[in-house]
Amino acid sequence: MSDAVMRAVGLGKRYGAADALRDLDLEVARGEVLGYLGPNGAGKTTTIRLFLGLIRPTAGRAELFGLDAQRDAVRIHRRVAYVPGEAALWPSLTGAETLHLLGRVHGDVDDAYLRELVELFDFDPSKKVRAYSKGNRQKINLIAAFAARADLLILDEPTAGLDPLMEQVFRRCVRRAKDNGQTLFLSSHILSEVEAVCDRIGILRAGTLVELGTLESMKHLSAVSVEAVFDGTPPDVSRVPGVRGVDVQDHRLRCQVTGPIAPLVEALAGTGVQELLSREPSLEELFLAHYGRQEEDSDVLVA
Amino acid sequence: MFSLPENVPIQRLPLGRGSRSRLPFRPSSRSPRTVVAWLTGRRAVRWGALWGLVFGVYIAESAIAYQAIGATPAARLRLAQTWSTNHAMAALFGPAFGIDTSGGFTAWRALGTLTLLGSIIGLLLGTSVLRGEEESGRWELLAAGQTTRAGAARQALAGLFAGLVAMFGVTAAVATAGGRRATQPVAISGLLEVSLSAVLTVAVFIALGVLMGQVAATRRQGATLAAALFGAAYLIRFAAESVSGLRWARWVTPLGWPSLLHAATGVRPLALLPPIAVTVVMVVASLAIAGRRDLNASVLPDPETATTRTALLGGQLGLSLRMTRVSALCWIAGLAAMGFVIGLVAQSDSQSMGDSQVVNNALTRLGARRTGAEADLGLSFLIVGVLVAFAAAVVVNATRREEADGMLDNLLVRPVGRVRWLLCRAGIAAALATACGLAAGLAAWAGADTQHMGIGAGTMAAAGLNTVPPALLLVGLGTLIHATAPRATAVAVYAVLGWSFLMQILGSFAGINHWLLDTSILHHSTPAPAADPNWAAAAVMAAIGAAAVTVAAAAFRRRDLAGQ
Repeated sequence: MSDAVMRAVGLGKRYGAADALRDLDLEVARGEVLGYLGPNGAGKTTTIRLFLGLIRPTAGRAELFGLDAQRDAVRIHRRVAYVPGEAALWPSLTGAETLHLLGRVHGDVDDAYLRELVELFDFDPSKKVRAYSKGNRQKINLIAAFAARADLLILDEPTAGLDPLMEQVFRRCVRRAKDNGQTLFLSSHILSEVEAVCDRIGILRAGTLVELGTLESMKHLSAVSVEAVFDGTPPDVSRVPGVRGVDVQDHRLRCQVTGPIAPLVEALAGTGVQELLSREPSLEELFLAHYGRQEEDSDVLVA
Repeated sequence: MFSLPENVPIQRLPLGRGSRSRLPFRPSSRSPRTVVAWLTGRRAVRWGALWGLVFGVYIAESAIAYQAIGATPAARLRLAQTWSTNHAMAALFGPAFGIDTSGGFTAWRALGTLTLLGSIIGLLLGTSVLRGEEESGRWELLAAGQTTRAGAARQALAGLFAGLVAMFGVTAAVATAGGRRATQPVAISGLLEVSLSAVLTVAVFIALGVLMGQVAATRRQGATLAAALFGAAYLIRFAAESVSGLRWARWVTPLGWPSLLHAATGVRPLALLPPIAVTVVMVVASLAIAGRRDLNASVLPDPETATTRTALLGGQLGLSLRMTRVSALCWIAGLAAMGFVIGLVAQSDSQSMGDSQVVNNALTRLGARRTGAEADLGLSFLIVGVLVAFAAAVVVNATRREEADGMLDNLLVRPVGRVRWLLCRAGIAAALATACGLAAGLAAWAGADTQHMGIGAGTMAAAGLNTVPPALLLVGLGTLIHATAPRATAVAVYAVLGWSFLMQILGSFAGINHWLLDTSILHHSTPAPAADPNWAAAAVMAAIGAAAVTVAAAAFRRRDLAGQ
């Protein structure tokens, strides 16, 4: 990828004996929206702080716009906007003063867009920061980041504390940024959000990037959900290759199929199927299936 | 209703190392209604034990120091003649009673310093335990337990009381163990009275901090209010000890109460009444306010909205100036006021001091070359120097807090260089120290001029500036510690200052090893205007400070940002 905006090469971070991030190789192309998923403590924020030069890698290197994240931090940050998961702002300043400050420190602000964002996020900038709720404090960071029109937006769980209406506003802003040619790196726990706005998804587990690709390319990770309704008692399909999780209730059969679905279709032929519904896995199912598979072998309590 | 299908494995998330087989805590048999008390008590007891150790050592050291100072009847007579009538020292440290006895000397010397130190640490603890916790959001979690707002406050105060009990216990134990080793030992009852008096002052100011925290909208506002009241209390004592017609004012200032007790020289139990009564009143008032106001609300008006004022918000330097301007102005005004009073009383003090050999010896040990009013001013400016360095230390500590609280992240993810940010902060600390020193010097000249003392403005401006180099050295050391061991910044900076002050006190009364004295950042300045400022030494201190900041900048560039 020649036009990579973000690049990590063998990037790692150790804290004492613990690996917070291990051997990360990652590229994010210009104009791309990358979703970065992982459970708590997987290393998402560590990755972001390494890219922002706030912490130093113990292995490998992080580059933004072809520049070293440590050495060229100031040059890089002119083209980056960042939204932290937890907004630590100056409590005695008002929202307007904070937006003014953050804009002036960054240097580039689209004032017209800033005013539009204030309206879109239904934000009252006249209050002091200490009087804002968590969600409203997060709005300050979001408005400041989007109004900067930066080439790269790094968002670390950006919708923490926002209500569903504001989440929708956030998604619209992300789409506008993408349409504008901006690159986005979105770390999030909200899988529907990632699914809705991201081009590619990276899944991080215990400091290691275990999956990276488009949502389509990850479909193999999870089974297809199949639901069939019969005119009589459903047949026993538990021995059909690839079929698991069989659940029969009256005339309804539900199961998951891993791999080709043809053996199941053949098994159901001539059994009085009235309705047959198959559904591809959602990102949430992919995520859970992935972690489930990792955990099943080593660490499972059976109910 | 969500339910799990049968035979579905429940996944256990990976836990931290060593945590699979046991929880990190044991179920407690304590009532959930006392959680806040235990939590606050644990912190307060540790705090009390630590400061109790410091207080105890200082009291014991004072008792032992009497061996050298009051060794002979003639020395004791000189001591009494000198200090009993010295209004400047009484104004700064409180009056001396029975100073020609080991008990009187120990009480005067120990309480003179510990009253001031105890007031400051009491205010800081008092504002942090309730309002500070509330501001951080942790109080909400605690108040949501099996308690009420007033109940949680009651528990926290109980915890603080436990801390004070621990403090008194350790202070008394260490003071008694050490003080009894002196060749002219102080009676155990006397040492206990000194310990009680010191800890009672801490209690008064903890209660004041708690009350101001309840009244104010933020911890910072509460601390500012409490500090202003502390300043007023100090000025009242200053006036009470400087003007003979105002002796009654000792009864209206918490800083006057320790001397009224006459600890170790025939205690007057009635003097225990003001600190105990005022503490109880402030505690009751705090509880009443805590029970009636909403969480995060205040008694003082605190409008949620404000007119947008973007002055100084054009960059990180402007932001720093805006964030520090109120406290900086308070420091400058406070030190100017102190300087003015010092100048005002210098003439009369020098007359009462006369040609005391003890004072002259003390001044000589500190490097004084002159006598009279200039010597008195030189002695007083040693305290000014400590406060100037303290002001700089506060800024260094605030710099670290900006990083610890995560606010620095907001700046460094924008085009703000780490080195530039750190240099700006160190520069602000240095500028504040310079402004404080100069303000104190010029104000002292103004005070002295009203008494027609004939000391020039240039001389006093130089004396004020002479207090700055140790502060610059402290800024350098503090910035270096911040850059290399960020979490140790506050402890290390205040420890350096505390140690230096202790060495100055010891050095003034007894001849101690010069290597030990040299470890004090305050020891390398002359006591101007009692001697000419040593500009060469000042330049060396400033240069070391600058070099330390330079090394700090290089180290800060290479390290990870560190949270709390």
